[in-house]
Amino acid sequence: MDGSIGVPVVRRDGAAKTSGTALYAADFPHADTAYAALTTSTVTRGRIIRIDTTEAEAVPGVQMVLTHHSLNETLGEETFVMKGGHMQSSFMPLTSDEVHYAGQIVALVVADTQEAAEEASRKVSVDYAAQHASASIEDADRVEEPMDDKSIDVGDAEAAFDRAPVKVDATYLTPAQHHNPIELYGATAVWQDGKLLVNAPSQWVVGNQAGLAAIFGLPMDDIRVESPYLGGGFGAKATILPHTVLVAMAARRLGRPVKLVVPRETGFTVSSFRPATRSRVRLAAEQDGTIVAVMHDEAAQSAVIDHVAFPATGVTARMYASPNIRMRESTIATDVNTPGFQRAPAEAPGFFGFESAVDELAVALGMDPIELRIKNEPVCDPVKGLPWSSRSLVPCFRRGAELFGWNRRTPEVGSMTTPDGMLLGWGCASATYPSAMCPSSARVKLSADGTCVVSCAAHDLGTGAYTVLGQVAADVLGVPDELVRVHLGDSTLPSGPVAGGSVTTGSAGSAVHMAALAVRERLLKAAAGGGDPASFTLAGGHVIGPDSHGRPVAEVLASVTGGMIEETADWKPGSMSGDQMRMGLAGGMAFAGPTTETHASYSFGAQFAEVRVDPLLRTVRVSRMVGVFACGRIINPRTARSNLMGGMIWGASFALLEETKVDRPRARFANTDLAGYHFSTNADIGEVVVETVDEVDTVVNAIGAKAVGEIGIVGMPAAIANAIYHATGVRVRKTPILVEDLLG
Amino acid sequence: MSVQTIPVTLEVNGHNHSLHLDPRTTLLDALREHLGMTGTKVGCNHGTCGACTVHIDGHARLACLTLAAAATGHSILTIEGLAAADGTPHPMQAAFVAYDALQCGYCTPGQIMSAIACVAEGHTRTDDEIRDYMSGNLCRCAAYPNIVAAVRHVAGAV
Ligand code: FES
Ligand code: FES
Repeated sequence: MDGSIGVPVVRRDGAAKTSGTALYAADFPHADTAYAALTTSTVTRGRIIRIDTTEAEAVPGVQMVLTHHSLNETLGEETFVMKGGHMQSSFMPLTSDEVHYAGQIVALVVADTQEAAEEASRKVSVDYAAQHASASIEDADRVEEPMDDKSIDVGDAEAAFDRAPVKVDATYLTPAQHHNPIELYGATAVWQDGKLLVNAPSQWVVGNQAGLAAIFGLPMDDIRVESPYLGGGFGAKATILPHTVLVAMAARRLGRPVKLVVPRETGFTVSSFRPATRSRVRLAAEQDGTIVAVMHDEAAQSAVIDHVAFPATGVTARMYASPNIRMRESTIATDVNTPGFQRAPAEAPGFFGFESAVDELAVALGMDPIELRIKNEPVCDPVKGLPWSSRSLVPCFRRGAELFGWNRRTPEVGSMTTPDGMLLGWGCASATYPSAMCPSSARVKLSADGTCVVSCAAHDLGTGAYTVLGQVAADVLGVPDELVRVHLGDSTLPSGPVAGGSVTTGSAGSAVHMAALAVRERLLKAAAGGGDPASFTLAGGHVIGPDSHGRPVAEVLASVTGGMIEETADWKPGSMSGDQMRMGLAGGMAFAGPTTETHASYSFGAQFAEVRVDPLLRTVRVSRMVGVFACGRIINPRTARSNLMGGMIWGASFALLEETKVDRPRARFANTDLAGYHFSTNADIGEVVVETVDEVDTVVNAIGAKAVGEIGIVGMPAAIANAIYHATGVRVRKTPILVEDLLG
Repeated sequence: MSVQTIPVTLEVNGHNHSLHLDPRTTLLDALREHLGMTGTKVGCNHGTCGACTVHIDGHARLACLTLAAAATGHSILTIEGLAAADGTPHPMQAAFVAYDALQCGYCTPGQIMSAIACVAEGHTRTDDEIRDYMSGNLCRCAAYPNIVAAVRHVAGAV
């Protein structure tokens, strides 16, 4: 079957995943494995004043209890990912008696069986000296710290706002949320001959390898991080989670493999989460809908132990043409585990407020919300004046409106109903996601048996990378899909980028493309003998010479030493220095874009929602979602569709269900399991229609592919809130939108 | 001191396995940690996600809420036991691939076990009925519409 770019090739890993043979981190068999369990803090802030492990150690089968007393080891220099390291947090549990958040690891128990380890973990007895703590940005004692370097000022937005005839000024709230991949966090560590193998679900095997090498003072080659499949990541599994380090230490001391599977409840605090945000959005327009001022002040939850922020205003600033823009960012430190990246970390919360405000402006103007957006479409980046590498937001809206049937919408609140008496609401919103790039290596091998093997330490989180990266090579080399093999998720492979920021296809794909071109060049050279390779081409599994005579590729390869051609390529984004590339390939965070000296590169999308609201009970159902996206060249429409669809359903979850509730008096997360933390089930989701528009982007990277993985969620929460307003006349400026918010 | 165990015999995919287990061992851990059958997944260990769904005597059951000792004498079917002897995938496995009813694949074995029960029990008269039945299996990647399509396809074919 044709496996080239643009073909909806069937997911390459589908058979392994549906037969139960795909090995996820906790599935690797290691002989004589011991099992670990965690004891976590029951107070939020303070010190451990006594920790007694006697009872735990007496449980039959227990081998070891690690606490801050018994760990007693100096770790190598490593730190928080946002400070240039690879860790989820600057704070490493068990290195002191300090407690910085509820649910912090205070002991790790290792036993011969899972059951014994769990029993013993509950018998570790701890006394704390607790101090006052706060885990909510709404608590009175919390202070907002401005981040002046994130401010954006174009023109004089305050003055333009004051003068304008039509304006909106509103504040929107989004709560803390947790990734909750279905696969639990965990790690298995195996030491052999002084070398460490870690099986942990990872979106960044090379980064994890580099970090663990630093912690254990070993060369990178002595560390292997193997994670060929992971059961969802969504940003949570990029950094090294502290328990991975503890498990590796325990395994080294015991001289046995140690395996930890973190319980769902504990997963809320041993990893990261999406921080709560508060956005004040001010928009002003002339009577004809011309926007004259855009202001967005965002305050986001951070941690006392780590200053961290995912500013949205640098992205919302780029949505609409306005001569006056003023953006401000600040953080609010709370006593929580360090927040982190969660699918569209900046954009998803920021666009809820921003795109709700655009809808409010359309209502204030009495204008169709799509017309308002199209009227203010910017010809270039409104902040820097740079051209777009490609921007097809308007075609997305036009196609989306057609698919959705937008012209049948009557704008008056409550004017549409279903035959069974439900209030019908139709809303829309814009979405965007920056197309940043990372350096990547890749290896491509073409053999006389016809197979093409692609190897890269990139990752398939369910995104389709196994399929897509193979297609990039198949496209260059004309190999049928069934002869393509792809190896990912192993730090022994050529370096690949972190699966974050929706960079994999563009970055690893460009490296695969480069390596495949190099293979092709050598193949043509071999076929040409002493002749001119430029007069040879590759088609249908044959090398065609200047005389139009074709020779099978296998025959040409058989004449080459070793019967195969293999090439490894190092690709870097055009705007990146060689030093940056080397740092990135060695496991550092190296991003280029989305804005370079010459262009701004973003994916764009138009999203639509239909809600049905019960007029009495005020329950909301999302009966229909439509999303049309422009993400450059789509390598595989089938996997791209699933990825975008998943993002849209995340958006519906965001709008109506997701919230990690904070127990404010006790300063901790309250609903820490899947019974209490809700996200969409099958029955919550109606029809989902996804399309992409054709777009040619010759600037963004070698294969013209822009970001796909995260944009799907971005506009959906606002589209749903806007639809709810259309149905009910109630403007809810917080998520999740609940029945009680609509009783008004 | 070593762990106290009891003898447990489990019939999994038509084969008997004799084990010595801590009496607290769940069927899920017996499969994954003692028999090395890791196709059945663990997403919560407390009955909320459906990732551990297996069939016990033909009914969809949560392996994390079943003690291994209590599964003695019953016939257990897991994802590894679905394919025909010659390796041909079960129609539901094939449909999940054909409809791209998976992304990360972690919920997938549990989804497929529930989906087979959904068809066998006849809860497939409408898409809403399928959605309702399948809602005990969470999919964080949100492959839901494609899962419904796969189940509908298999239901239509039987
Ligand atoms: S692991 Fe059994 S229901 Fe989640
Ligand atoms: S496919 Fe990832 S959880 Fe369902």
